[in-house]
Amino acid sequence: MKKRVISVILTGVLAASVLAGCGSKTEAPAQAGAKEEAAEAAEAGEAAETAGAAETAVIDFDEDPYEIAITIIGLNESNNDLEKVEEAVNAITLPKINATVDIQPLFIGDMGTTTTMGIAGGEKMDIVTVGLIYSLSNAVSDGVLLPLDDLLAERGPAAAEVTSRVAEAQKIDGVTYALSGYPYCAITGGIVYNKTMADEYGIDMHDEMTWDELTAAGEILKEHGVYLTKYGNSSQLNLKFESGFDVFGGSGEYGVLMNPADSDQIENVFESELFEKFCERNKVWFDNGYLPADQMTDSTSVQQLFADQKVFMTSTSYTPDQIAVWTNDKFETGLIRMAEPLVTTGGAVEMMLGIAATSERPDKCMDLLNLIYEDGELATLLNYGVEGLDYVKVDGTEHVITMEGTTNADHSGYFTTFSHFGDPLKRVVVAPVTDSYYDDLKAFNDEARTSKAFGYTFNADQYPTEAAAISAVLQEKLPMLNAGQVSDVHAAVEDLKAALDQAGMNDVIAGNQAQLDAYLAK
Amino acid sequence: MSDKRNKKSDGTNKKSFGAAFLHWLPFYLMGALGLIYIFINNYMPLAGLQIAFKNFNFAKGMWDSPWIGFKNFEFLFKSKDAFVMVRNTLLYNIAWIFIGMVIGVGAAILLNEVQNAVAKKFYQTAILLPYLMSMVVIAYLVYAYLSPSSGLFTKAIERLTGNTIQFYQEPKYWPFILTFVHEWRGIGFGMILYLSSLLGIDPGYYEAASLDGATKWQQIRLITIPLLKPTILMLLILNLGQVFRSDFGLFYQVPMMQSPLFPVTQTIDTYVYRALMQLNNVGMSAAASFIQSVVGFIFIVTANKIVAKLDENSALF
Repeated sequence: MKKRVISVILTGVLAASVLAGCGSKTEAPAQAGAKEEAAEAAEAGEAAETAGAAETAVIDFDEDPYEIAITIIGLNESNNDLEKVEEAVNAITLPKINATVDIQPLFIGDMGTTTTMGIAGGEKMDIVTVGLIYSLSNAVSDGVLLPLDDLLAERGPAAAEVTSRVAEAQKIDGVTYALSGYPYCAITGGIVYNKTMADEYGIDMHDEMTWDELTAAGEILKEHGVYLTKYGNSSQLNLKFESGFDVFGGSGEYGVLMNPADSDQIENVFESELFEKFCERNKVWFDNGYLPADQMTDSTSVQQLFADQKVFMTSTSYTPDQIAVWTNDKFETGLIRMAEPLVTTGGAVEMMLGIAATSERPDKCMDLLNLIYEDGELATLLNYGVEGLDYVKVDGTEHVITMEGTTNADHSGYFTTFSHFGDPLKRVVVAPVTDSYYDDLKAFNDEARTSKAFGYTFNADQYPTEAAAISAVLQEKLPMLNAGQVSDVHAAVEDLKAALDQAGMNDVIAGNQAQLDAYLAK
Repeated sequence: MSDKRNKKSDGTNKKSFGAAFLHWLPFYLMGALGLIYIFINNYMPLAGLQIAFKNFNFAKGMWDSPWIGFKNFEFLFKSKDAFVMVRNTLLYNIAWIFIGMVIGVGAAILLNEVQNAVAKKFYQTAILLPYLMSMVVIAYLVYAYLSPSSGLFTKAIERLTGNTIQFYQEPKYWPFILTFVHEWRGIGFGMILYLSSLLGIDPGYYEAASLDGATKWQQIRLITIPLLKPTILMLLILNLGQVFRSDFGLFYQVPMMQSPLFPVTQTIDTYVYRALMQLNNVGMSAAASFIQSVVGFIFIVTANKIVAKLDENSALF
């Protein structure tokens, strides 16, 4: 009898707990609804606060310090020193803006989902990263970001000043939503190569090499049993790395400005003569044995093959500090650029910081953002961790650091692959970049021409069907062309063009052109 | 113990409804848990079906996003691949349902004949093992055989015939490769239900049959198969509900994402993944899933109708 009573009670308790669980689950849609009100309230609160701040705009040191959640984007590094970095950051932020930070490492692949789900689920979010795989325009149409213009005017003078060159690119429909991690955003296509090998085999690598010169290099390398490069199973528009295009969409699926500094004519790059020539070049390379025969199925990355000295070179974007990404202790690397430096919207919005629509204290977030752009020490901390622990100064230099020789050499201490904080002219640089970096960066940006479409962002909201179909076509038809492994380049390109047209690519480009014309007319 | 039993029967027979209810209360509560689970897990998400017809926006949420009719479904049919992916999905599934049934029943019968208990367990585990393997691992196992530069098969064929077959560029081999991999991986799991049904068959049938001189083959044909029929039909009907879905890992990973193979490896799921990978459009993926469910539902109901016509007792509902 006793047993049964207990079992009844247990069952009851179990049922109750399950029901309780059910309760919290069913709450979700309600929360989503409430979230919008919260966002509105936050906006209202912010408006009230900034209205008050307009007169004072000073930090209130009497209240309890507010903890600001901020994301850093990486590749699942362990970040063992995270707490020490937070302590060091707090030592700066507490006396200056009366706030502490909670640094949250985030895997790049999860950026979009973690951010949108966090906002929808009402999690504590303050400073969020956009760009990379979760574009500013997507974040804005998802309602993730707060408008920043008022906050910026009242609490963010340093942030506004540092990002002034790219201010137009930070706006969607005239409203600023995020601050660029690349305030000096000039960029171009380039090639990174094994300099030790080039010197040994007498290959002359220089800026803006022609395709014929690269082919000649391939022949020399073949004699020495090294592959020129590897394309692999990629549906990217590889041509963009060897050109000065302004590309809409990751692979030009919304069109390309092929001479962006001179013409605002958006073209379908896949219908261009240059693209077909590029595919023909790759076929020559493959047929001549300059590319690995099993490149389509071998999933070893080209970065790995390059580090292992199996391939001589690979495409990369070119900026004055890009070489640091490719540094290797086994051989010397070299970097050449394949086109003129260019200022584009895409370069500026590559990685950005914004304030979450649900943040409780947008004012504090702006204080921190402003401090990040103002204080080089803080920017360095967030980028590279604690000095002596995560990196050391290189002897005989002023601003050059290295992670070699520290426990962080394997990136286990504190490392963010994709985040860039603050003013690049105020933070340290990583060897082999030298102290001349600041001048190089300025010169590179001064030399750069500006795309006619700078500041403009294509709104693809009306074309989801076309975008999906184009993406599927590119993944089906582009990899073999990229790899030079089609039997008839012309026929394959014609096939690709027909499929893209059927998918609606030319309609999307026409729509893009209309939006750009309207933007330029303003 | 016997005392308790008496009380029980007394309670249910004589006492009032209230007492009977109290008596069965623990069982109702236990049943309620299952019902609540099914309600939460299977019925509440049905509200989310509306996403397929909406321009979903995270900021507005599911209920407040605007309706856009069937626009989310367009991308599935916009491409000329629509025919290819629907054909592949349906043909592979239907073929595999029947092949899987034959091999599953066959394997179950063979395994059931193994007398040594240890050997039986060993075989069963060995057959089941591939099912627990990740598709990425399986993809590399296949690659070890078919790789153009170092594959075991590729090299053997090269030695024997002098020709190198580029498996990863020749669509014609893949319907067979995929079928083989699918069956090799799935057979252990596919036969479990058949095996358990076999264990439930009264050994008396077989004893009587062998006394009357029936051969092993006759026993299988005349006793085992007919008694397995309800299980076979049930699994058939249930499997038909999945006919518009495909094993994503198998079709995406195992062919190493090679585009020349798309004509025989593109299914609805891989197409949706490829089309929406960059777009992250919740509404459009919901639409694809919605179509898959609707088609699966139609297949289940139709199959059940047909089964009911042939043999009323074997129908599911």
